[in-house]
Amino acid sequence: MTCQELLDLLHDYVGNELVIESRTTVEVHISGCLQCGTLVHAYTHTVRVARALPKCNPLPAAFEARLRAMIEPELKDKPAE
Amino acid sequence: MFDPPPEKLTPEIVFREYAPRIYNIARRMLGNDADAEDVTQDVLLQVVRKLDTFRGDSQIATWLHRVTVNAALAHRQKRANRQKHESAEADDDVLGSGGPVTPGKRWEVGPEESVLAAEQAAIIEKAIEQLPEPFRDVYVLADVEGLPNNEIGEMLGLSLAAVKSRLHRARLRMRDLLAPHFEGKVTS
Repeated sequence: MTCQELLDLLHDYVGNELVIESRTTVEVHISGCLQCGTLVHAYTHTVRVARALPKCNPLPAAFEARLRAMIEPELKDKPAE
Repeated sequence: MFDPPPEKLTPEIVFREYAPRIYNIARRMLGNDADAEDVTQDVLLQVVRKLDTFRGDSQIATWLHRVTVNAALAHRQKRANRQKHESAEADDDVLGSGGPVTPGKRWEVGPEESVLAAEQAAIIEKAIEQLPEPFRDVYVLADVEGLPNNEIGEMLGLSLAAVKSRLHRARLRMRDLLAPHFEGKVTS
């Protein structure tokens, strides 16, 4: 396997989408290629840090107040019960 | 992803639980507060007006993602129409073919790290903003929101292969953008 071939399979490798034979081939290459090992390490971490980002940061306070005031008429038309 | 909905949705629950989620997706896709606020307002109004439809509907999470993405794309298109120098068209050559890559050093983010420091989160958010829009959309939905590629393809009108290709190139670009901040000190 060449480094370019590994690069082409990287998305599927990190996503666990490779068949076992291909996965093994990738892992053999990584174990013997420092550059690709480093690439896989960094690539994996770009996925990991993105997933660790907060999904629900609070609304900016001023916007929250404006938004609440804006939907107030809608809430009156649809009581919460 | 959006959390599963409560048994009975009320306007207050929609406002409290879903408005921040809508805002965060729109903010990351559009890259600025003003546009994210417009989209959040539009989507929240849609949700509140259709609230009866969604009571007990387990598909609200998927629906909210779709409506938010559609609203963000429409907003971006309107903005592009106003600003002729911007284009909403996807250019698959923007980030190159995905190789060869430049060598680097191992990153100092620990493998078990699941909570980011505020400073790290700000660096990552800034890097996301620098991705070209078509790649940013896929990256935000796949790697930040955790949506499956096939669902992203349906939302954005892309084939599965195109989603995977853009995501791969976005990750490589993110790696380049983040490397100066995370490379180097730890070699474990």
